[in-house]
Amino acid sequence: MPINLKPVDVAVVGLGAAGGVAVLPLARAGLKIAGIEAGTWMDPRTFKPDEIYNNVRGLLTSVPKANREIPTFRESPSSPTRPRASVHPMMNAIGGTSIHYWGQSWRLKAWDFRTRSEVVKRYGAGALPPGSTLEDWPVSYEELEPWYDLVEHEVGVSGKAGNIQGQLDPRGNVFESPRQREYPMPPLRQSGYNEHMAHAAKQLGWKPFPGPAAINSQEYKGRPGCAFHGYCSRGGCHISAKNSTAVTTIPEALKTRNLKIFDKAQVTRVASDNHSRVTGVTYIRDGKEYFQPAKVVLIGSYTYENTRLLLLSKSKAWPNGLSNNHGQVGKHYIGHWGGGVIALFPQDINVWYGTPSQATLVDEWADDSFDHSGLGFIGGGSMSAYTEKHPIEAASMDTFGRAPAWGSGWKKFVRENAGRWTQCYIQTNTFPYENTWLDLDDEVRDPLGDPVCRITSGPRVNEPRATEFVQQKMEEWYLAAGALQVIRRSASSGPTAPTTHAYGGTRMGDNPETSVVDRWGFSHEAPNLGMLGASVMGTTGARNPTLTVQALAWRTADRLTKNWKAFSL
Amino acid sequence: MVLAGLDALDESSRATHGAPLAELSPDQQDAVLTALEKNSATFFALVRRLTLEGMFSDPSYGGNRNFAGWDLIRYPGPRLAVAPEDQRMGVEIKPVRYSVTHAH
Repeated sequence: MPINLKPVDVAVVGLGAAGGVAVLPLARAGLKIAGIEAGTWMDPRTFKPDEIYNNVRGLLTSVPKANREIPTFRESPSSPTRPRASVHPMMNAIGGTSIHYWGQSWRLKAWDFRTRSEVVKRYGAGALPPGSTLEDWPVSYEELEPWYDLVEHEVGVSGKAGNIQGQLDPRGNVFESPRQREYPMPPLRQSGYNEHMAHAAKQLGWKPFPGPAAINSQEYKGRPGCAFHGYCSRGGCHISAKNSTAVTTIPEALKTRNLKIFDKAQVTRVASDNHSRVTGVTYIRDGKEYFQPAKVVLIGSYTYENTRLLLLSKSKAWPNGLSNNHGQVGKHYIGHWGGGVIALFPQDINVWYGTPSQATLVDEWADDSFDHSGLGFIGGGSMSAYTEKHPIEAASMDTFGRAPAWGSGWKKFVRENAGRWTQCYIQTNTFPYENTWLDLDDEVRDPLGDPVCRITSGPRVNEPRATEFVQQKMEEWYLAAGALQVIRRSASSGPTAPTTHAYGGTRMGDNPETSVVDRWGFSHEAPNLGMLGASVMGTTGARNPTLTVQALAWRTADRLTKNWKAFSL
Repeated sequence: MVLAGLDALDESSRATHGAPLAELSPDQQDAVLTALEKNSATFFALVRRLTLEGMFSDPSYGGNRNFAGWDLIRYPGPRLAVAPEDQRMGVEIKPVRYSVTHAH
């Protein structure tokens, strides 16, 4: 029998990028919150410039609970399951994956929120990707803008505005949708390589700009600016300049004394009455089972676990999983597509140091920023030329067909060229499809005996075409910057494993037949259950999800605080 | 598994060339490794991968002795803060002899 705890107003499951933000407005409004997190506080002594620790063995980010629940992957119900990845891309910690992520923090475009209607208007219904389940979001960019602004200031995002209320500024991204005001801090400084690539982009007539990041470019709220030490990717920040929720919104929420954190606590089920409301969550902590009653439950346990928890939480009222009487839980899953391009330069480009958010970005070929007539795809991708390269990674370089893979020839080549090659980051607009969803695996179980999540992801024509198009632009960019040689990797398949950019499974929409949560993030079927995270997003955009995740999470929390009487019946 | 494979490699090297791998001439070594790459591709890939990790990881892991690996590729070593000048292109960066010590 679980131990019954004192009831709280809100139980927040997961204190990562999403839950870690939501607790702040709730706490400030005076609500009593139980923040239930499977991980715990990270030890800053583990934030070190060590490639083996961070990147080769993944010791910072590899966590037992997540690794026991790694989703399986298959292309279709009739194809075999691939061998599971050995490390889950997300981590359990107070702060979650925002401890070690790259921190890139740009907003989605207005087009991303209403892609379907815009495509039909401009190109006709025939241009919609065949087999996609694309729908307009129930919320617009304009409606979300105030929360983007809130998060940028509260969490701390450095950048340069390209469009303030319609006024364009070429020092920022002129393709961005309008914002009410400037970023709270200037962008991260540019390295020599960033400037070199920016110059080349301008020669092509493009409009490059420095990337926005949830990383301090200068002292902000009492923490220092970035030191550019070059161990940011999959590493914790040794000076708290990277604005994880663990050093920003969570401590602020704790100050109010309205948030109590239950760490090392694994939520196993969401409980409900036999009618239409959730009543709390069950979790295991220190070998014992607890029941946390709550008037409202918000789940921010990352995309895969968000779906899995609902599907596991069956009851008489919800025999197919909580909030799943319309069969929509797990549907419209999306793994973000991208494409690799590497380049070899004739000179040292000095990208050892920095951070991947220290980047020159080009947004020319993303979304609907160019005429797609006759191209056979919609969307495109953003391109990033960034810094930070580790020595093992550098020495493991592709030899571009110019040297053998070992021996004295290899040694000579690598001595000259380890510091002369780089890769880019391309993110493709990716859409939901009928052939792509999440559910529970038939065979594989976690140590508690619960099935793990299963990803089914089938082929499509739109994203490979869009990605290849952008890869060709990236090649053009590298060559304009003086690269000796460029190699494009095949983009015919997207992620074939769990990914750090995973969306859907509890999609937002106005129609309960095609979505799980409403325009505020609350379940159509259980109105006191809210979902936090990219699982509510219906499109990916051509850029990173986290800022949008955080803006949506804050907005969901604000909806609760402003209508508390109605939610807490 | 790796040690057993390397022992087997030395045995085969003694059998074919009369000495363990490390004592062969460079040309003989190349011959042995070329054969290994062809006949045991998976093992070869594993050893190559581990060699790269050993050569270029922080010296506290036992390889990259006296920073020889980092010097080979001209990686200037980790430092906890980097000045703007050290991120320009075409500059000589003074190597930092810094090795992370584990907190075990």
